[in-house]
Amino acid sequence: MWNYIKYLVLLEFKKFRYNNVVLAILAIYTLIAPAIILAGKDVVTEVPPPLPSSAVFYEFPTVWDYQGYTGSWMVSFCLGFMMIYIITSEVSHRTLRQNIITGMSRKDWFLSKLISLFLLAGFASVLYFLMSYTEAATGTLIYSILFLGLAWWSFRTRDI
Amino acid sequence: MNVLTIDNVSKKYGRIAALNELSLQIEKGSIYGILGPNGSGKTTTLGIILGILRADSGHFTWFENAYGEKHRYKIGAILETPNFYPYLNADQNLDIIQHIKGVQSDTNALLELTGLKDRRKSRFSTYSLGMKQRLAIAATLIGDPEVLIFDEPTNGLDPQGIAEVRSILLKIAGMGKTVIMASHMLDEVEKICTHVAILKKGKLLANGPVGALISHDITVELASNDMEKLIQFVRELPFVKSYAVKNRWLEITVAEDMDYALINKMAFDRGIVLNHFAARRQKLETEFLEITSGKKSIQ
Repeated sequence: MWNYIKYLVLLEFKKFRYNNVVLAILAIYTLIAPAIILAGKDVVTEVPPPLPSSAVFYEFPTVWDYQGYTGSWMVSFCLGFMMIYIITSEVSHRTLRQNIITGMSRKDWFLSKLISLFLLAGFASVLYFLMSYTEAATGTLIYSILFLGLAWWSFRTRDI
Repeated sequence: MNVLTIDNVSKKYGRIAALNELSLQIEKGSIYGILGPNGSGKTTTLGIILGILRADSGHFTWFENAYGEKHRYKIGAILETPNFYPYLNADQNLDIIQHIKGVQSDTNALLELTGLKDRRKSRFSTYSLGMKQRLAIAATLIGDPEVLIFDEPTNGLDPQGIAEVRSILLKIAGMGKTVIMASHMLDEVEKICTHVAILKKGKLLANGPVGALISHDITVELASNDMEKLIQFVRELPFVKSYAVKNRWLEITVAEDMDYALINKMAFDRGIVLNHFAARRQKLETEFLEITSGKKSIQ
């Protein structure tokens, strides 16, 4: 069973490891999303009345509620879109068809996407756990610099 | 051994019957051509036997069930267009196919065979149509499959591309594999295939060895300055099976063992000087057109 899962996950990895859309979304998610959230501590200082201050976003135990809420939006914008792309691009490139002609069964194909979905959800959860734990404002700077660098690097080598 | 047995398969798209109770047996080692005009159900047939489309009724068996559900691992196929990941290069695309089939093939040799070796590191989206088609042929050969299926492999190619693909197909045909090929190129089918099935509107009109479908009669074209006299002369000949007046010449059909040089001599003796004389064997193309237009019935 583990070999079967490894076979499916490795196949998905081989399909999408050089895909620009997937790489860009993963970069945005892992680099800029935490930057936005961590920026809340310093940038958003005034909050509506029921909340005492923006500090509640970053304090235990309320950190889990607020970061979880923000995180769910980030996941649906970035990773949700990415998962839709991973499935629909295979239909539009007709590679779903070709995969089945090559030998996969419909069940194999369905499971390969389902397992990727669970892995992606696991990755998002781990990242959010780590991020909510790291309260440091310096995180903002590091993430921003990393992301800008990546954006510039990909832009200067691209055919326009 | 029958590689593929199709038994009474039917498929409807809405009210239109794409396939109507099709039955076929394909023997191991044969090169089977599926011919038919556009929309005759060739691609539908291949889609059904490859598990892409579901048949409404009937069933099919691959390799007499020797491999069970895993039969597609023993088949190399392209359907309609070459389908690959456009952002990956040839090596990476072939690697994915190897991964799915769980085999390691000599991709070097395959890219050599299809002449893509110097472009193996280019992305698929940068390929010309001919190169895409050739990569698809290389992909079908991965894992040394027992059966190869090609769906109009030269569709949309320029003469150069057609010549390239044709030479590759001839090489593959020489490898002794079972090949199933849907095609428009009748002269190719005639040259490569051992068996032919002719479809029209989802119905099987004829099938069997290529030699059996083509009649052995010889067609002779005759022309003279005085066509009236020539027609009169041809009518009187006892060995002429049929004749037809064409635009610039007269076409007569004679038996295969006929010494047709005799016609020339007899015409000259009657005072008719021929200015055109050509004998040719019946081509699959004429047979195909006659069968699909309903002019010729199948025994």
